[in-house]
Amino acid sequence: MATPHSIRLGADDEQDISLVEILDNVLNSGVVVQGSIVISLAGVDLVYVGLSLVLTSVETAMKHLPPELKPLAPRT
Amino acid sequence: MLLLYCMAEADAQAELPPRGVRGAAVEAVTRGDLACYFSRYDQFGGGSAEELKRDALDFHWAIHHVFQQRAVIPFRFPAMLAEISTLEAFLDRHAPAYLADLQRLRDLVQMEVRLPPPVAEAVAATTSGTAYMKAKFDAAQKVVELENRVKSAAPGREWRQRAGRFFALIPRGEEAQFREKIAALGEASLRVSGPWPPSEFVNCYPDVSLEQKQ
Repeated sequence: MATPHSIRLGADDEQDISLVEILDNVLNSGVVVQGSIVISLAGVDLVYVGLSLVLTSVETAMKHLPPELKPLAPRT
Repeated sequence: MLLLYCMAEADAQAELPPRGVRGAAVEAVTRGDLACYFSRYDQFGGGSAEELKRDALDFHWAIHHVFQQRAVIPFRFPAMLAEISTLEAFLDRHAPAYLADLQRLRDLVQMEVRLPPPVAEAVAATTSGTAYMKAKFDAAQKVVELENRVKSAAPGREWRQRAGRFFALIPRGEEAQFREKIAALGEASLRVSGPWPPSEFVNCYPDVSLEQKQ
């Protein structure tokens, strides 16, 4: 049964593929092309990081954040 | 600026995706037998997380439209180039390698099997060094056994592996059979998805960002 986050891809496809799997796939698979186009603010690629923060692990998102935007380690 | 979707073997009969990201028209540029699909934008970027998520889904659907017809090599979202001449130069340089990949991967699709994360509780619950080492060893053994069982679902097929994820290259049309074989393993924790474009099996991954700086 399809979950609220699942999408049926079409009549030919046997299975639902979840939204998260689709987003994970488009963000993490394929030929990487990053040109000199500015689609960023303060060194953060808004498109990529914006999605990463929502959809991928914190570890992945942190890799793409500049040091000044990374959260401080919790005090012990 | 251009947002790139994917490359495929050129086919004059093939349909273009009806719409691209943010409703933009999808165009194709060809270099010999290679076609590259893209949309043009005056500006791209920004937006809320929801809008960006929608953009990524639009991107997927545009690629999926081509992938339903034939093999594709997708670009990673958001793959952008400043102008068409940059794209043409890129294709001029790399078309033979991409075509070789596309011909090799023709009629093949990628299926993904995600393994459950290693069970850490049993290891963490140990009270001595020896018990800890044994628990770690047992956990690692279970993972290896599961990996071997997963691979037995498509013997003789090409497999790739990355961070607890297994990718099988199987003939288009055998997806249901593959799913049945994974289901027959009786491991409810395995998550199968696909068919996907065979990104993990593409050999040609040039660093385009370096080229542009030259």
